[in-house]
Amino acid sequence: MRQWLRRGRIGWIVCGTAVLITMLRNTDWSIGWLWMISTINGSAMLLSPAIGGLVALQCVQSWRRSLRSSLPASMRLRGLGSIVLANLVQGWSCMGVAAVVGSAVCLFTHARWDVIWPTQLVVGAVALIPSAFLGALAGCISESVLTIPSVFLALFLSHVLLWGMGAPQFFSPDLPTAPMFNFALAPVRLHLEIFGNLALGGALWASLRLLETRSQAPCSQIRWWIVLGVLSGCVVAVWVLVSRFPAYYEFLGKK
Amino acid sequence: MILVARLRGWLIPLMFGLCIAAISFIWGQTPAVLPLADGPRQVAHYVGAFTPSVIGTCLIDRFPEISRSLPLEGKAQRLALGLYWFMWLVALGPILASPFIGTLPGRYWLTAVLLLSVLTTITSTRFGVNGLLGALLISTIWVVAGDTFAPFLGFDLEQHSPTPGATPITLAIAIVIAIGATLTLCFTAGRAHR
Repeated sequence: MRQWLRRGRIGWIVCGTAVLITMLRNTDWSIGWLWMISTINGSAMLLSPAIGGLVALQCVQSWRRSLRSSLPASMRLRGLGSIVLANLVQGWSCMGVAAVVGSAVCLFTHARWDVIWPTQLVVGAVALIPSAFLGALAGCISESVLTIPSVFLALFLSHVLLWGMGAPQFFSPDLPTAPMFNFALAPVRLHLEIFGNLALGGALWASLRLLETRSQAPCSQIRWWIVLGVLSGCVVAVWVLVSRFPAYYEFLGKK
Repeated sequence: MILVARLRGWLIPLMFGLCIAAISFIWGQTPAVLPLADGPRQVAHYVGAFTPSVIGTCLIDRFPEISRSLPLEGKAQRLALGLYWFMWLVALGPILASPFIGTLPGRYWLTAVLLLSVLTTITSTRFGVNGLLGALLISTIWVVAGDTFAPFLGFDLEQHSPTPGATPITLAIAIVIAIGATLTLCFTAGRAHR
């Protein structure tokens, strides 16, 4: 993984810019802890397409089919896992640095402590996982340079489309930014979306695994077909269930 | 072989450009709400922000290891630049020809898109796919927070008058920058080879 972190120096610049711009747009962190955390989670809107694009870039540029085909399946998968993890570490580190700075500001200004669920801290970070796996899957399927802007655009537009459809916020959540508009999050929907993003990430990893081991005997792949089926079922269940629960339940200003 | 690969690299962005032109023509002025954006957005904003990056893939050096030793590299790069601006005109033509351009938000849109396009040409030709990714991120930031940057470029978007007053100067500067950057890239295209 260290090798991919070194190779992907552009990742630090891109992820740092995405988080910095989000933080600079919402500088009034002293309003409250929840507001500060929601700002950091909101950076997933830019980070998610950026990380998808970065993973696709590394797959297209440095992990080409000609190189992969000369390696055994386990090495191929380990390499892909390292690329995905290295880019996720870059995104999470930038979010972590922003969280440290934001916490310092909140502590210094004695900001209101209004965080209700510990999971509110990770909703943005979890949303990056399926984006990274989608980038890897696209980068392994197509080696065209156009894959990179296509993945980037797809992930960015998914934010707009899913929000417009009232669907769960896969890839880049809009939900955790609700406190920026003085709304609190409904816990059921919050946890459903976290679970949905994890299930989607797992389903994409299973797809990637099946793609990379397609030359092996079918019986050795059955386990991963089952994993893919179960996780896809979970994603569909989350999609159906989310519309039955409200996204926001309380106006913080009335507290 | 290299010619075929290069033509393939240009053909797909060309097709994308035509698709974008159709989208601009049919849905250009359709409102498209963007959560967390700092103002109203239309399909034109998305098209304007991402067209330079999508068609900018034709500017990326497909053979960075050997391109310096290719005899026609300079000409190929100049041709790619010409193709880029041609596709830019085709893709954004329906919006450029619409009454939207006569309004203040329209002129700001054109100024910003020109600057984003210049940025994309420079980063894509100089830094390849890494530069393209950077340009994509900056385009996304403009879609989300474009209205915040408007005052820095001399546009007061809260002014409701349909015809702008002093803003054509900024637009003219953006056009001059676009032409200047393109000419500079054209003249320096084959220098590495020579």
